[in-house]
Amino acid sequence: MTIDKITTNDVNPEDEFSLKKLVGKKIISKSGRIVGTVQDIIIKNYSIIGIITTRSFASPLFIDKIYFDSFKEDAIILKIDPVTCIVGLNVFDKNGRKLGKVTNIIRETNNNEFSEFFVNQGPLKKELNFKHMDIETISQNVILNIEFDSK
Amino acid sequence: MKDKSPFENVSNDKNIITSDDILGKDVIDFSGHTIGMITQLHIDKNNKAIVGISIDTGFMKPLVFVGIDLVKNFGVDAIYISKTPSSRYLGLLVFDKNGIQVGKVIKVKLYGSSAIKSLTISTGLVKKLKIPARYLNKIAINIFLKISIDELSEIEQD
Repeated sequence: MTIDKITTNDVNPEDEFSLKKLVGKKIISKSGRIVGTVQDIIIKNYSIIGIITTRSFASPLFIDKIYFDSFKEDAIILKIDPVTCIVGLNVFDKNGRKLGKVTNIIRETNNNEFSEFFVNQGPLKKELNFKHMDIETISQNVILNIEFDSK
Repeated sequence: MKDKSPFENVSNDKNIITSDDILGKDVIDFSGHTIGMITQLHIDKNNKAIVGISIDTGFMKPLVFVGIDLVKNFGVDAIYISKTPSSRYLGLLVFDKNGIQVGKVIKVKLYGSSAIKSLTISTGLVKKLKIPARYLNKIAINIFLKISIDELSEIEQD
């Protein structure tokens, strides 16, 4: 069905990007992790400023458009791996000792950085606290660059 | 004087571990990805030395052998290896350059034992597609291609 138009510009809405189609599409991080799906698109002063994504077992997340690498009807690819994605990952020290799962991160601002994170060792065990600089690498797991002494 | 048991020094040496300390442990590569679980130790019966480990990489996936020279350390709960076996890529999702999911990796072909030559991906129930390495943009938690899903049909298939 063709779309009737009221406009002074030479524009064909059929050829343009429909935001409605974006709702429900995947948001993919820089390393290919599926962050969530688009729940809503946020507009300020007639421009898109970001999107809100739904996440499993967590509150919705707003991601600023400055972190978009690719913004298409089918998916949004981010320039970053959102720091919120490390919650739930397993943590190992540099000697291969499994410490537990990340439960929380501390962020001083709303940008994509964190200063500290907490690790749940399991029931009846003390929660561990580490600094961002204690991390060697983050991917499927969090690997620390330090040895943890359990004593 | 009572003779010392030949096992006494060994049992007190913290650098000595047993097969119980290794079998069943997770294997993690240098980028932090879990490869699988150790199921076997391979021993050279002439030299009496461990030459490698076998890793169970998951349901319906092949056992992977990793030489002992690639083991970085035997940790308390996990073993770190310094190289990523090609089996790590099996099952990874493949996205085109626009983020459209194309399929899943079902086969990896290498040049020798290291560099990827091509990936075969399953794009549907029956359909498969072979993608040469030159079309791969990034391999991390999943895989990104350099091309769009429409351009995939232009890739020659053997």
